[in-house]
Amino acid sequence: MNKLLSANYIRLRKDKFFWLGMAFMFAAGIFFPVMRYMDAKESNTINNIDNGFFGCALFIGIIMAVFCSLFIGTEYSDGTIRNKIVVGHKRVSIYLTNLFTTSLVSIAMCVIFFVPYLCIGIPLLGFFEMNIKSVLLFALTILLLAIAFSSIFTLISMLNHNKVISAIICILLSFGLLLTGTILNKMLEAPEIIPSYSIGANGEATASEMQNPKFLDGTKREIVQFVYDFIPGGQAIQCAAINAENLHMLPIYSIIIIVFSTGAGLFFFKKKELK
Amino acid sequence: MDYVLRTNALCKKYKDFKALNGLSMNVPKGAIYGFVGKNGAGKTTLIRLICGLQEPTSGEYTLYGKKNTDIEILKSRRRMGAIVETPSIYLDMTAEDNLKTQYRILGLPSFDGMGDILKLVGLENTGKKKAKNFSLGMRQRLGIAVALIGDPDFLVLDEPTNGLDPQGMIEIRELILKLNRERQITVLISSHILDELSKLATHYGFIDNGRIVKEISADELEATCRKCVHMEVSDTKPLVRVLDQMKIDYKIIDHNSADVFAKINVSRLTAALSKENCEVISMQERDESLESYYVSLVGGKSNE
Repeated sequence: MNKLLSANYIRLRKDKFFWLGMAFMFAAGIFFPVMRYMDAKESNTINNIDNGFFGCALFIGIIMAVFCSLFIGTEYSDGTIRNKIVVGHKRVSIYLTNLFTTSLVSIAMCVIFFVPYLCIGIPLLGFFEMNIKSVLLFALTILLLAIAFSSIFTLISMLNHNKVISAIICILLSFGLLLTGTILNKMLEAPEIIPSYSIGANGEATASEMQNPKFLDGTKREIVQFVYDFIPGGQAIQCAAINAENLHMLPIYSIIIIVFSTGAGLFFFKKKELK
Repeated sequence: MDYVLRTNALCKKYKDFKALNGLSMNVPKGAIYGFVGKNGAGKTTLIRLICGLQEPTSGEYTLYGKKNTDIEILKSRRRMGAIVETPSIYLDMTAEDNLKTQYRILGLPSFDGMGDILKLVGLENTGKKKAKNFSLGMRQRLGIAVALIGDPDFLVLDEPTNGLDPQGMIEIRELILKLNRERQITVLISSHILDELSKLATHYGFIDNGRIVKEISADELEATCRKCVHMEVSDTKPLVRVLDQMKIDYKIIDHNSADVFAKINVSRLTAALSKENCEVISMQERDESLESYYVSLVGGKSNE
């Protein structure tokens, strides 16, 4: 596996999508705190570093969708995956090496966002308001979330011969997951009681409160909450908003996704007929 | 005889289609084995199987004596290089970077010999030019260069001259001959360009409908395809006497027919046979090429 990792490292150094992604994340890491600082100055409000620091969770999925599908898809479109198999590398090693590479890249992408954000954000916006344990837990959640995204997109890209189709599926899926997360967030955020206004016979308006029909409770709420916590799109929304009801569970869900997607990927890739 | 590759009743099915149907072949060590067959005959399927890209449905093959079911086959594969259909190269990389990547895939500690390989395939001066800007011939040569890293003993080339111009074909042919003669690399080369193959191959395997219809060495093929005059006579005994007197090479087919391997003076021969009371019934000049031999084996158009 070391041999394959070393080969992937040579490729990474020359990969323009990798450098573009890194440049984007680095620029975002500078741009976000500066914008927050300017916004705070203009509106005379206090903006601390907490808000926005975990914003990279929102686009790490999309970036990894593009990177994984193109990096791995190139192996199929250029036929170079054959070079690895012909010289006797095991399929398990090839799959795990690619997963390891994309996972490392996803971590690097997050780190290159966090570092400039901290370097610029702390002098401009001050230190974190929330306790350091929560900061670290959110950071860990995001890193595992990035690996979970990588493992899902690695699975799709390794099982699909066509680079373009892989890219389309991965990008649509990344947006789909985020959209699902947003919808679930909206469902869970719906208030239990909503104000109700009625106009009497004499034309007098009266305000009262009523039960929100859209409010989820009982088992239904538990299921939606579980899906919201489990899917990477839901986790991304929660991390970006720094509002996670079951924060301690999110890394565990990511690990489950990584284990299952890798298991399925290995199973099918071992059986895959390559051309 | 030592064999690099042997297949035994190899079958490969894609749903209801049998791409390989009990294929058995033997590639001797040091040979340039021409694998001949029309499109869809199963050439590429066989190459995919022996390269480990796909698994056979039934049957087996051995590579350097290791069965395909043996885990040790992975070690045997380290002794081979291959180009399957198209050259496997990163189009966004230079020739040098492509080679460096393959060096790493093989786990070689340094890039020693990279310059020699590039020189061997004539790509030493491509500099920073990316492979996507190479001509088809250059890409093909780069593919061979990648396959040559790690000093393989066995090179598998799937239609390496496909789509090349005449100059490109000559370059690839000379390269293959050089590798075979100077580095003693065994080459399995599939092609349907028979003329091109006839300039290279030391052994042939003719494949049709997923099975080998004939395996023959180039020497045997040459003997079979030798230019001759096929004669039908009333009796071959006097013919033998006359031909021996004339010191002409021949081959008796049966009591009434023989192949004569020389440009004969028909008047002199018939006169001599007449003296021996031997009647000449017919004379036919035969000049079988690899193409006509192939057509006679697989049945030409009627078989398509």
